[in-house]
Amino acid sequence: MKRLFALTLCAMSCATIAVGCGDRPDVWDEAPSASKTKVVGLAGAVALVDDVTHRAVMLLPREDQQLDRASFPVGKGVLRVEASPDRKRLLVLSSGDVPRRTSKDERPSLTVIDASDASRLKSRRFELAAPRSGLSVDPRGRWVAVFAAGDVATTFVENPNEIVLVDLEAPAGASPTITATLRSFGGRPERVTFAPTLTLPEGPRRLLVVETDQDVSLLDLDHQHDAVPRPEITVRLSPGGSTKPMRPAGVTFHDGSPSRNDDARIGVRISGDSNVVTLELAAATPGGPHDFSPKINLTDVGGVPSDLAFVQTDGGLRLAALVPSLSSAVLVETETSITTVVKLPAPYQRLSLITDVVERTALTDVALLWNATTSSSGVAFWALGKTAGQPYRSVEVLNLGGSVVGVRDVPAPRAELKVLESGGRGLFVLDLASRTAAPLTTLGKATVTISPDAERMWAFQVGESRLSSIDLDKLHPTPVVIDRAIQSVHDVARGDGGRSLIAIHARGAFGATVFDARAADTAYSRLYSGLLLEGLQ
Amino acid sequence: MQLDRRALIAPATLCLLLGYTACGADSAGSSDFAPGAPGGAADAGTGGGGYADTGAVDTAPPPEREVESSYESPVATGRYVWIANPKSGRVAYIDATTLAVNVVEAGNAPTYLAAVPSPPDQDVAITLNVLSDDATLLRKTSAGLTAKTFSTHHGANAWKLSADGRWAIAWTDAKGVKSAGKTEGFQDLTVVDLTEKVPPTVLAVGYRPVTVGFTRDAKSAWAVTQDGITIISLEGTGLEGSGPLVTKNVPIADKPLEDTGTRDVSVTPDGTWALIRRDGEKNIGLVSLLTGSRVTVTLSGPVTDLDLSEDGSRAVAVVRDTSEVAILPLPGITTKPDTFTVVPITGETIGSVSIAKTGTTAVLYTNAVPTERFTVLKLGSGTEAPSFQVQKLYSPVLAVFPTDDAKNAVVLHEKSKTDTSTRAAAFSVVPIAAGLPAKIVGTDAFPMAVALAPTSDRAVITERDDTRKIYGAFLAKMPSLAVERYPLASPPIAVGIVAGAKRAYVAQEHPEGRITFIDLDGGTARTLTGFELSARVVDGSKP
Amino acid sequence: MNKWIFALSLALPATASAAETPAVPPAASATQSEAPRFWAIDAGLRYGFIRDAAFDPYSDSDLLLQGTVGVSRTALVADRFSLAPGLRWDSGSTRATARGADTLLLVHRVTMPVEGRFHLHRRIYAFGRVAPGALWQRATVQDASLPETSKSSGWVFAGDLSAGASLMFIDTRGPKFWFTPEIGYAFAARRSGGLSPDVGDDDPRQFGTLQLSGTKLSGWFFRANVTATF
Repeated sequence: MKRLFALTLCAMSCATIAVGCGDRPDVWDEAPSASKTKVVGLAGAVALVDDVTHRAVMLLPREDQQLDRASFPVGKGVLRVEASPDRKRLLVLSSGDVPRRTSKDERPSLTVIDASDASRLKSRRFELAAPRSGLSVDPRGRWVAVFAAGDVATTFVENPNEIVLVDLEAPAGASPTITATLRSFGGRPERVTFAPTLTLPEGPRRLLVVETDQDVSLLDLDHQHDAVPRPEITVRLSPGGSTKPMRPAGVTFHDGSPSRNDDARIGVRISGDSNVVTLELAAATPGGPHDFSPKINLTDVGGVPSDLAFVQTDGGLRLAALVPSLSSAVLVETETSITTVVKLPAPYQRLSLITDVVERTALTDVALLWNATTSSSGVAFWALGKTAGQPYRSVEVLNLGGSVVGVRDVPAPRAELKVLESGGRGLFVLDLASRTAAPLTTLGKATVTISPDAERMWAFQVGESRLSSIDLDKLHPTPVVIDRAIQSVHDVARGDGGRSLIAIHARGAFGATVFDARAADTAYSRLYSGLLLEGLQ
Repeated sequence: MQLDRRALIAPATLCLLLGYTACGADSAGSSDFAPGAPGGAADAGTGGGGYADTGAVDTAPPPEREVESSYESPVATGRYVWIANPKSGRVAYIDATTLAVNVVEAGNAPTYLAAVPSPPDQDVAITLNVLSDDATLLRKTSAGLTAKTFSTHHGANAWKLSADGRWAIAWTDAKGVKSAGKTEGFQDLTVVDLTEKVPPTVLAVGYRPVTVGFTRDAKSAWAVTQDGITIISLEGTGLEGSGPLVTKNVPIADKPLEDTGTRDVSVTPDGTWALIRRDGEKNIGLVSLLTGSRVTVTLSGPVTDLDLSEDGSRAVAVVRDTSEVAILPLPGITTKPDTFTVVPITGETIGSVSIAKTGTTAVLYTNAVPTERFTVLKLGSGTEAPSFQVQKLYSPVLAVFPTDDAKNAVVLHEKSKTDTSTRAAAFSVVPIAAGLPAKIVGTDAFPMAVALAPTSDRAVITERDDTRKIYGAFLAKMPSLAVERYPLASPPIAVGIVAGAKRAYVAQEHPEGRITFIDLDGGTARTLTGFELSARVVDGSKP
Repeated sequence: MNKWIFALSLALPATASAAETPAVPPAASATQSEAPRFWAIDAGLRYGFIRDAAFDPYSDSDLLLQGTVGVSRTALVADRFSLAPGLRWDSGSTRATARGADTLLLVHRVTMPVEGRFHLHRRIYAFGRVAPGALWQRATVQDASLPETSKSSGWVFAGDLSAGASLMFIDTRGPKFWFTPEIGYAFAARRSGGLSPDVGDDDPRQFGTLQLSGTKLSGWFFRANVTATF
């Protein structure tokens, strides 16, 4: 009896131990971290991409500062997170299970979460053959280029010249994923740019411009779904007899005259070299795979250019190169390569065309010049017409008493405004129309977010709890003090037509403070916590 | 394909730089001409004579000035422009229609290019590779480009091609060699059979040849040297077997110690006669290249210039002192040396002559003294007597280039001493056949080259000033006389017409190579820079 | 840890039962012709195994350990069968760390079991039990993203179905002591999710709800009690 009793108890205890050795998923054991969680603001949502749980948590604001949450799986091993240029899509590159041991292990993938309709979020996943960390998104929203950026080692061996094009609007029956291996002469891609629509001999075309460390390739996107896709055109920048690398440092585009289809141009800046290269996309010899062929022109601008843009002057189209070492801009005539040096009051390094904003009917361009170093202060307006006896009208300096390290665009309908970030404490709101610059002082280094409706901007210091809303019309700052440290703020559209300000707090499982963006008042805010704890069950 | 020499560069007058001392001593790549240096396409001078100092005041006017062409410039064939890059060892060839650029490996330091007459479906050029002492023949057809190499003698820097495109002679022009010592005779020349039936043959001719030519039937060639005219048989046989051979040397001087720098030799296209003009002499000597016999034609005074028509049917001689022009019929003058037509150009000072390609018209002018006129001489034929008319200009004449059809002419001017304008020089476009006023165009730099289209309706004139960095090209349209200027980014070194593409090209100095094409019809200009780069564009059309 | 305590708790009675052999009154008979009537008071431990995913934030295993006390009284007897209604209270909590946040789940279960017994022997009887009742739980999450603790509590319906046996290990003239292992299945409704910060009523701030799913504390359980009958 006693033995039976003892045996019964032992057997039950063993069985119970076996049954009771339950466990929970590993996701609960790893805390979120700011380094493994990417926060991306979209037009109508904020995305928290959590690599630990392999998902994107979408925060969607509603009335009364409510916040809907929705989770989407994004694949294991997040390599890159980007928003589309229109901020309606979230793109996440993942490496998948590395190594794959079973057929059920995840492959590398690109996840696209479409948040254009907040009431109906959609997710698509595109499997990739190999993991890649480089991502470039088409401004028009149709294409995504995935390539090996080289900054993240994903596999033991990778072909850096293999580019995967994902067509988000692929025609029915066509594969949305196209793999193109660029011919290489030893280079590897460093930058991928989607060109605007260019008028070419066979009609308007979208090109993908791939800059490697020694050449430039042009890929015809509109013919990649052909039975035999058109091969890329590679423009080798090194003369061949020299070992000096000619590394492209940026491109700019111009569609040419509206009445011609053979004068679209691409300007290429070379790193550390005083030459600029112009590629004129003229008609090709019949019988070849392409309808266009780049005609090359090299022009020495006298110093290493820091920025490049095609501009319209009274004398016609020019390629403007900023040459800080000469404190000058050099205008290159595209037909003859003749250069004109325009002396500038300071060695500006950056150039932005602002013609559409300041002089909508102008036939010549106006540019904003600004400097990314602290060696000169202020910005300058450069009008590219001519006046009698003085080439290229005027360069008007706006001395701001400090350097300008960044220029932020304000969207329409206030496109005439620019927010200038200075190297020290403070901001300037530059009005291009009136050429005024209103200073705004800050207590610390400010991070700026501009509302997409152009009514206000937000300034805060990362890691602090102070925030200000600045009305862009009256430049009136409204202080907002939140009781938690801010990592980022996002001015997001609500489904009811209003806008919410979502401030993200990157502590613990991430929190958020939500209040009405148009009437910033913490008395009517709502606090959220543990956002990355939700949705795991 | 028939090579249009006139279409490429106005013969014997490629570059003019007047008073342009900054460019006066420029080296290879430039076809400039320094004032005061001896020149002349048929001048056998060594460079030691001539006019060492410009501006010297003499009682007699100085001699007329002529310029040389340079083989380091690009050449054009029917559709392509060929440009040699001595540093890379490559020759770039640009399709002037599509502006597609390709390069091909040549020998070591390809430098001197020449267009080879060829069938219409081929574009052929040949280059001298200076450091490898050979030549590369480049033949472009619809099937692609082929290259063949031929050995040459050391030091060759000039080409002469036969009209049938079979023979090419590489020779050494002493004027292209700096500081040549007296013991350097440059007597070697290489005769190359481009059909490869005969291997390249190095022959020795007389001392320092000044020009080389072929007879029209390409059965023989000749070299004008200080020792006379050396005749080369291209199909001769000899002790050494078949192949080109020097068969004789025809002396052209009565006095063995005559100063060869003062004579000017022209050879008839059939290679039978040579005409010799000597500075300060009123006699024109004719020497039979077949028999060596001589004929002397005596004119009314020292002959200042002599030109031969393209068909060789007549020669025109100018006697500046008497303002007379003598029209010498060929070959009739060789049997009747007294039978020739003298046309007095009353009231005009003339010293130079240039016969238009048609052979019926010649232009007469002088650049020895500032003269703001030139004379158009109709040479007459059969029963029609020669006649002339004087064309008024507004700046002193430097040179006159008639178009092939002799309906128009381009005149280069030097600046008059009384001209107070800020312009550096000028040129005029003159409708000589219509007798209409000339159109003068002032230039901010000195005109340096002229190219005339074979269609005779376009002319391109380049200007260059390295001090003030003014570079440009003018496109003149005839008969409208409309002139458009195209600024250039780099100093122009050569200009030409690519007839097959209806484009003019202006080659410019640039380390990577630069050339501007001007559409002769539309007037649009396109510049290509970086030939090596352009050739390295890969578009996937070739595996 | 709970597993080992549980195993130990089972082992100890076994050891005790092997070590201590209470004397059986010689006058008592080995078999029982009629079920006895008695009061029973028991106390022990309840080990619940909760597989619900909503439980994961509160426990790194699936185990919910509770203390249990109960009382019952034989109401009906028929031969060897008897029926005894009673009252039971189970109480316990579990703590864990969920993605860096400290969590706590406190559970009280109150049931009214009705026990059907079959007396095999005067020292052994088997039973089956049906215990409807209610369950109160409070979930607490303390995450660094908010200074305040988020909480949620409330009642849900619950019930147990179990079976077991009682084994007398101490027989005296007075109370008798039994070892009662029991195994069964607990049913519980799912508590509604959402935790809110625990702030005073006068705190004007508005908070969003932490959307953690409410737990459903259903699952197998094992109970080991020491029962005293008299």
